[in-house]
Amino acid sequence: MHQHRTEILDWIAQGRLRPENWATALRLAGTTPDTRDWRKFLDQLMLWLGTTFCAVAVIFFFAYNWTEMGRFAKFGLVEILIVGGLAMYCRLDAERPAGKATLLLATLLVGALLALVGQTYQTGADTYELFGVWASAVLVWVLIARLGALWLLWLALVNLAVYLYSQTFGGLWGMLFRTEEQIWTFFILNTGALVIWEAAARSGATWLNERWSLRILGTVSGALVTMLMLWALFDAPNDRSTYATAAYVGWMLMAYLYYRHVVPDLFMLAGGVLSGVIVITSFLAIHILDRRSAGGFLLIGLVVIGLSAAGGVWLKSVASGERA
Amino acid sequence: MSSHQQSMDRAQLWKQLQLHGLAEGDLPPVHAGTSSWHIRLMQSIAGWIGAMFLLGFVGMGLAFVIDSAVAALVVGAIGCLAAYAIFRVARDNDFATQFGLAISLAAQAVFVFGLFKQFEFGTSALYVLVLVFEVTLVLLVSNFIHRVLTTVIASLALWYLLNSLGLYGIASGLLTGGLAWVWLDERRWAGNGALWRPIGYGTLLALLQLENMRLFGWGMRLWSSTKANDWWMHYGWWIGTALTTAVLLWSAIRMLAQQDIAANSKAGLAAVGAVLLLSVLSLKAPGIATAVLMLLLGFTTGNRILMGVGLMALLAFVSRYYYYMQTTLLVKSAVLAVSGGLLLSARLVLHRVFPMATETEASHA
Repeated sequence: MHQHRTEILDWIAQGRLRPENWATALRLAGTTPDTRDWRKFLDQLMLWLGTTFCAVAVIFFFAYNWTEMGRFAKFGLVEILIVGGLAMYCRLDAERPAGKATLLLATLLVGALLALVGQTYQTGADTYELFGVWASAVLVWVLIARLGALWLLWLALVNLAVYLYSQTFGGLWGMLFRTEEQIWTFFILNTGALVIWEAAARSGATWLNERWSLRILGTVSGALVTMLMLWALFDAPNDRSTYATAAYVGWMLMAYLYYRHVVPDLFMLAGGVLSGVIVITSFLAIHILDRRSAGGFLLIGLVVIGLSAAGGVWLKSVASGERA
Repeated sequence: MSSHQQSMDRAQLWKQLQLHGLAEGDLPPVHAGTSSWHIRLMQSIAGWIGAMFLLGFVGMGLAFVIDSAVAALVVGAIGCLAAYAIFRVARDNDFATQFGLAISLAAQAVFVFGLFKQFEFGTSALYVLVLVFEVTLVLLVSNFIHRVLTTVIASLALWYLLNSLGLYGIASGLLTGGLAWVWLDERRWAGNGALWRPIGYGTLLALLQLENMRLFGWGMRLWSSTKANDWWMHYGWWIGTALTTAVLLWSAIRMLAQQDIAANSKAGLAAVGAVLLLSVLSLKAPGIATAVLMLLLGFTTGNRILMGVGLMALLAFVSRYYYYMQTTLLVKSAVLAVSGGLLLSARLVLHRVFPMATETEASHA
């Protein structure tokens, strides 16, 4: 759809299609929707939006901690909703969106249930435990749902659990969870997820082969390794900066090889170019700039411009190679 | 989109168009000069970084520019003229245009800094000048990234201007109208895309920013003006919301017309009803109507960027709704439960009233 959109818009801009034919050409190419596409789109929109709104409504309701309502009524309500969601899943076709939506609903409601347990019984549990238990409890549903968005939600829960764990024990084990170590932890976690996801998508799990979710994960992983590299640049040289440099160079190389030659992905390549521009700029800023050097600012500005323009030229040649 | 449409390559698509009498002549060659949004996004971020260093150069080496309003205005204007010349003379040279972008961004910052030095902060004249300056750049400089960025700045200047006049709450309604006006007519976004597509994206980005601020009431707190009167303080927000509702209604009717569906038909009335319900929800949960409009505009134009931004905005507004101070969590919960229930019920009605010939739902959202 998007490919044809680019082609049709190019032809319109080149004057190869007459104005009175634009709307028909766009429709014929599948760029703009017909009535059937609209019907399908609205169906999906209402399903996912309605499900999310209902789940968020329950979470908000328990966050309000309404004292008029007894604890058994509260537990009963959320448990009935979860069981109801799962019963719907069993009745519906698991491969159809409605079936998957019920699992999303149940997944979100488990969080509300766990929060309610903590709120009611004051168990003394830390917040990271809530998210950790939440992620563990819903893992089976995430596995059977075969839905990329639900995997992303699950990964977000795991990230949050790790973050809160580091916040809780940061004071106690300060050495273990300093900011730099936190970035390393999230980098390893999310890069591992990216590698597994890409491998699963390549090995036939077509439902995982949605580029948008892989791009989100790739952006997170790339941003984290860039942060590690910047940390290494701005910190005094030490063992950790060597590891960070090795991780950065390795990540860039692997990303280039994979997203250029195995699964061409212009978004990931453009992200790599931007990361390179930022790292080189930072390196130059550290070594050239000082308070009296106006020329240094000018030089670095020109280098940034030159690098990003060269990156743009290269990316355009890659894109036109893919389109030809 | 059918699998047949997806599997077509360029040559087959051109042949299809020829068969339907929509195209003539040979297949046009691949136009290598076209950048995808990934490349443009990378270059615009890098352009900002480059501009920061150029500003550093001005601050360090040309301190007199920072000290004098007139010098800042003159240097800023010269920089913008230089950028304009670069974009005109070397529009196909990637290095020159990236240089022009960074120069222009730095020069705009210097020029606006000069205006701020010359005029008292918060005066309407200041924002009128920034608005006129940016709109001029939008019209004159025909670079895609430059147009997006200058449209964002112009839109924000409009917001500041309206607030400085005491006209709170209507900027986002006006920008929503602008957004729909650009994306609902293919003569604009497709026919004159070099001008209107970047303006459409710039308006989209500015609108996201405004809705975000509106959600937190920053517009009222930070930029309260002495010109504000009680009437606007009370009703401005309602007028803005009414504007957004009117735009949503108009958009729905336009989208129906594009599908040859009359507004007074069964489907037309259902769409109008849905828009009105959405507007009621938006009264309690600001931003949701705007995000849904972005999503619909993205779908009707086959524009995945608009759809993606609309979807992310929707999720962000719903999440941030948690922190919205105007209502209690109990009320918010009730609003969301009713909305969610209505949406799911509407889906059931859709299945009964407009059944699909063959139910072939995709396996993903």
